[in-house]
Amino acid sequence: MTKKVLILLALVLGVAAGAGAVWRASLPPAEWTTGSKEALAAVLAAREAEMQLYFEEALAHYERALELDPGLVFAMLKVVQLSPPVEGRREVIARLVEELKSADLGDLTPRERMLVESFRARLDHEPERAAEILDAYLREHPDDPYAVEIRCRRYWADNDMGPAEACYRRLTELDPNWVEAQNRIGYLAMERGDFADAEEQFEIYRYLAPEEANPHDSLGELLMLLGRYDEAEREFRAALATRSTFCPSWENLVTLNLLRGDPRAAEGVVTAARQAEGCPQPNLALQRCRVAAWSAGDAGRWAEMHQAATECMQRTGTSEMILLALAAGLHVGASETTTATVAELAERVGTEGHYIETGHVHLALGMRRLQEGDPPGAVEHLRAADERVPFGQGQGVTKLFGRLLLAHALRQAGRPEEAEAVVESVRRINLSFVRDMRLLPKDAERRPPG
Amino acid sequence: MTPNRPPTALLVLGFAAFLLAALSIVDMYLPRPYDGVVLTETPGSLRVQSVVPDSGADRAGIAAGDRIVGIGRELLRSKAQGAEALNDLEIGATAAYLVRRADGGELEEVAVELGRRQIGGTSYLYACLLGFSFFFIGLFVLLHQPRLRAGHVFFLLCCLFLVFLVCRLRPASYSAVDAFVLRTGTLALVLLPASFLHFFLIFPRPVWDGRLGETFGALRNRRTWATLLGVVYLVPALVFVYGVWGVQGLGRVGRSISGAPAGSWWVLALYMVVGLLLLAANWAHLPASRERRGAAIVLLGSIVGLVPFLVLAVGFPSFFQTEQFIFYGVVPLAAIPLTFAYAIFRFQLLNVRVILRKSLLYTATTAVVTLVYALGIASFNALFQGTGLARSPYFPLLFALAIVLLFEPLRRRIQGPMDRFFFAERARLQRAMVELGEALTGQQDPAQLVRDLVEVLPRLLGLRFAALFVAQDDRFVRAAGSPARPQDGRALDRPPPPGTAAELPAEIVVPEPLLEHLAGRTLARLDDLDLLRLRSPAVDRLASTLAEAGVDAVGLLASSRRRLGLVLLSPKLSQVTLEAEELDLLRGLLHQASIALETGRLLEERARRAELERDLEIAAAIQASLLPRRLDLGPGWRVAAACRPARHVGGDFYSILPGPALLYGDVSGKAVSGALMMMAASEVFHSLALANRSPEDLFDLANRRLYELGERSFVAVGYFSPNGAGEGSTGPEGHLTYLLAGQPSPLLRHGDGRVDELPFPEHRLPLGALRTGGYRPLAVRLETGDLLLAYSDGVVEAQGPDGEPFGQDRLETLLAATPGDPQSVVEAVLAQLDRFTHGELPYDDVTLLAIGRSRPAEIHTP
Repeated sequence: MTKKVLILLALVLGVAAGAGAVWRASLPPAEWTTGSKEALAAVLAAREAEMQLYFEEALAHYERALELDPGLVFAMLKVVQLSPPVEGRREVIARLVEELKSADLGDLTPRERMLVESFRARLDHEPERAAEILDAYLREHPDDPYAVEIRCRRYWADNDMGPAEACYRRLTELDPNWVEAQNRIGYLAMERGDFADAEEQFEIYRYLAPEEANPHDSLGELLMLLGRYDEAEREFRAALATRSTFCPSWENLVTLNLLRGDPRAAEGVVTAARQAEGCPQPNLALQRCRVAAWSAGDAGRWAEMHQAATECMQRTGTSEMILLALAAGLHVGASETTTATVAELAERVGTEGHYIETGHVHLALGMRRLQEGDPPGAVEHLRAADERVPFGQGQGVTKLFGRLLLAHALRQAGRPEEAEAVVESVRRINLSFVRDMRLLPKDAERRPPG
Repeated sequence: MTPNRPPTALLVLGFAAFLLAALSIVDMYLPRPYDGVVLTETPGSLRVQSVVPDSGADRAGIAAGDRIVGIGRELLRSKAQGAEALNDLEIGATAAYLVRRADGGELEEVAVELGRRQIGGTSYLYACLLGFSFFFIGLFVLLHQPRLRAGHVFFLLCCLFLVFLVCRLRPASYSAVDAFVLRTGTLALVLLPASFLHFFLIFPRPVWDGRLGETFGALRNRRTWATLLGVVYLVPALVFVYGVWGVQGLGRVGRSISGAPAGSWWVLALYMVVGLLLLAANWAHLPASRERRGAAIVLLGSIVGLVPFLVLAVGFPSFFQTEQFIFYGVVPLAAIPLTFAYAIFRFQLLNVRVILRKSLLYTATTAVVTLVYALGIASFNALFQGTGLARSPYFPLLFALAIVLLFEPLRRRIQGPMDRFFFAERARLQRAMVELGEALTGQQDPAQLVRDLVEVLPRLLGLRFAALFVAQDDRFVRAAGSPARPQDGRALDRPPPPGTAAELPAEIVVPEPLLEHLAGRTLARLDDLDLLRLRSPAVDRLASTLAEAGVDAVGLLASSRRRLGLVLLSPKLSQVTLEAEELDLLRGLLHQASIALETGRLLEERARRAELERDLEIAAAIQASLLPRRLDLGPGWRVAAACRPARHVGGDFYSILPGPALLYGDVSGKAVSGALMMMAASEVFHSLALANRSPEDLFDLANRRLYELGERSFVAVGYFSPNGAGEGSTGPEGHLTYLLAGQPSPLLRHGDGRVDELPFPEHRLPLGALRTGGYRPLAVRLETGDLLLAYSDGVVEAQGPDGEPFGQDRLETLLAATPGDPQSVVEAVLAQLDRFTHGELPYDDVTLLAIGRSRPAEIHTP
């Protein structure tokens, strides 16, 4: 009898131990090394904000996490990455970098070790080693969405869009609710010119995070590119209703109204943004410049447009103002200021590489060639620009503008069929844009579809 | 011995199927948020198969064909994620759904209000009821026929129908339970066609049995049968595997119906069609009418149930790509369990007896009538609500009156059809048995009765055969019924083992314990003799022999006087064994047959006796005609004689021999044997007397002749002759020569009334007693007025009512007191004997011979 009881007891204990082991094994491993639950909660909140692209909020949470646990290396890394390089923060960043250099990696999770080691590699200007560290980690942990996302971002940054899209789709398989992946896939679909897919991806993105501003903004940006201005406005306003300080949506609303040919409304948006403190002051200033230059050009006051754009170009130094000034110069002739600025830009950015900036340089150089009476040269630069400037990332209007400019250059170069094909490609995307764009010379105006 | 309970594996399977179905339904009532979306079973797909009416999804505009992309702001890759997403929400909450529309494929976000899970629409409720109907009918059959192979397969089939209907048609949501239940339902879909076909291969009779055996005879081989079953069960599985994985592996898109490969549905359809054809062929060849009627009902129900199912659930989805009619294909499936239940009830299908008490039925009838009235009142109230009629105080009174007047007649009217519907077969059998009983009772010819029993009983009860053995001494000899067991008398669901004996024995010695057992019960099934078989090895041997010969029941025909016969009954042609009620009817019938048989025998004996009587009368007449009309001893002699046999014919006689001489005799034995012996003796004497006038020679020769007859029959003879002892000699006047062989001494009444006995000769043994003779005659002188009275022993041995013999003294007294001639004396003695015996037949033949001395002309004959 006793023997049986003992056997039964042993059996029960064995089962309990086994169940405990299984339960323990089934628990998700700790993602971030910290002994402070509050610090961990702050990190998770920061991750959430980061996913929503509320980077300022995210930075604040990371800093709070660091206050709670000064040894939390992941928070250190994030604070370094997210902190704007402004006075007052450089010292903090420098201190954190030093701490990261000397941090003991022994107690960290493999993911944290990977992050710190690759950070150190980049500090040492060894991006290849940083990539190797990531690759090694991914070989061990292929399903860690965090690491996968880093790889996706690298593809993205390298303008390696095919692998980037595959990578982000893989990320959505690992975590269907990794909303930033949806956002990126939407933009990548735009790059492929698959606007229906892009719209679907952005709709999914919006479905997943309707309380965030960026999904609405991304969808609105696509809709604006496609000429569905009313729908786009609803999305921008929905984004601002969610978060009135989401500046990209204010800026997109300004652009939207300019495309509609309603500079007054655009100006109203700028005013509202200012009142809502929706954008930083520099952004607001830029928007005012855009409105001023665009409205002058839209009214055919090319000299005024040129003047406004040149002034803003000198004040803000943004490529958009350079391009506007150049566009006005197509009507009134090139100015020395503009020529010098383009040269300076080309020298600073260069013309190689598949980056938006180089695309802008080619665009500027193409317009310069037109001003110089070199249409074939312009065509080359404008084609290069078209390859580099994406539909997304706030560049859609610029890309369409560049294509119409390319069509103008082709006509100037005596290649009207090619010009018409280019115009047709724009028309298929946004008929209104082709019909209403008045900033370009007359010969670039488009026939109605038919 | 096979245990009298169902196979454990089958019970476990049934329990598991029932548990799964029941828990599946219970699960649907658990308080979980539910959107009303019914998903297809396609792995990884969240395509909406249908939407429960008035559910949150229905109100949100989600429709069949849509795909659920996200729930509660979470994207779904699987149903499990959908279940998780729903579990995070609460009943009553409104969840954002991302839906890809079926038309155009656009994404749309809709708000779905989550409610409690419902069991689904009416259609699923119907499917559940149907599934459980199948299950309980199958279970009922299994419990009533635990050893019947067809019952096993039927139960399996019903379990699969249960799982198919409850689980496969479950309005599946996202949960793992849904997935599990659906997969089990799909498994049922794989097994269902095979078990369906399997069932109709052995139902209502195995296809190799009976007349279909010519076509399917090869299946009697166990290996062939096992191979066929293996193929039957394997094909649907292979088709399913190919449909699910094979097609995917080949990179093709397999068409599916309701989430299962279309190929599996087509296999189901094919098997069902083949099953129906088998059933139809089987039905056409069934020998028993009752079984045929039952099978016809099932065939009809199967056709009604399956054809719409095949068309709407298999054909339409395959050819028109629409599954919206599947439910309408499922609806008529109810005809299958309903017709099975009806056939079981009405025709004891699958050998299942249902005892339904009439009182219960009448209670149900009354309840139905009451319900009809209640509905009538409710309808009337609703119809005239608010009107003056409804408010009238006479309104309830009128209804009460209507109920009083109409209730009972209506109930009686309904009862009739109910009786006819439920008890028609039983009533028909009872009526037929009563008619047969009456026919048997009126049958006076035992041979015809025997024929009736062995011919009518099998037809009436659907037996393979019946045989009747008639009692002869200590055994029973086959009198009617086929000696060989019919060819279709095999076990019903498997081929018979080779070398099975099939002969009924020609005669049976029934052990006494069995006879005593049967005497108390009249009829017993061999299966019920287990205890008796254990007690008596002889009974066990006999029961084994009979069972081997295909006998199912044994009945005894007996009267209070004797055992008359034995009735052997085979099992029924159908798979139905004799039920208790039939056995009771049979007992009554056998009882009636016993009476009829006994009556027949008695009548036969009576007829034989009457014939004998008639023969005897003729014999008596013949015998009487043999007695001489005239007895003439010559001048001076007066003779009177009388012979009264104890029965029609007797052993006494008198005769006149050439000489002349008077001879009277009494042979041992009476009636026919006595008469024959008497005739033989008379003939012997007459033939010998022609050549031998000497009485001693005559007696010696007659003695030898009679002795040689060898029958040890003796003949007592008396001889009187007025001549001398030698041939041709004539004695002195008034002298008589006499010889006595075994006869009593004659009495001599003298003229003065004195009576003396004549002296006995020295040798007086009856003739035929000894080989040697040695008879010597004596002589006696009769004066005028003397009278000699010779008589047989029947005279003095005649008994009065109290058993007192008449006696010689009484005879002597009577002779002394009776003056007159011989005739008067003979008549007086006979009259006195009649008085003495009160007119009863004498115990023995009575012969009187009176001889008187007178003038030569006075001669009398009797």
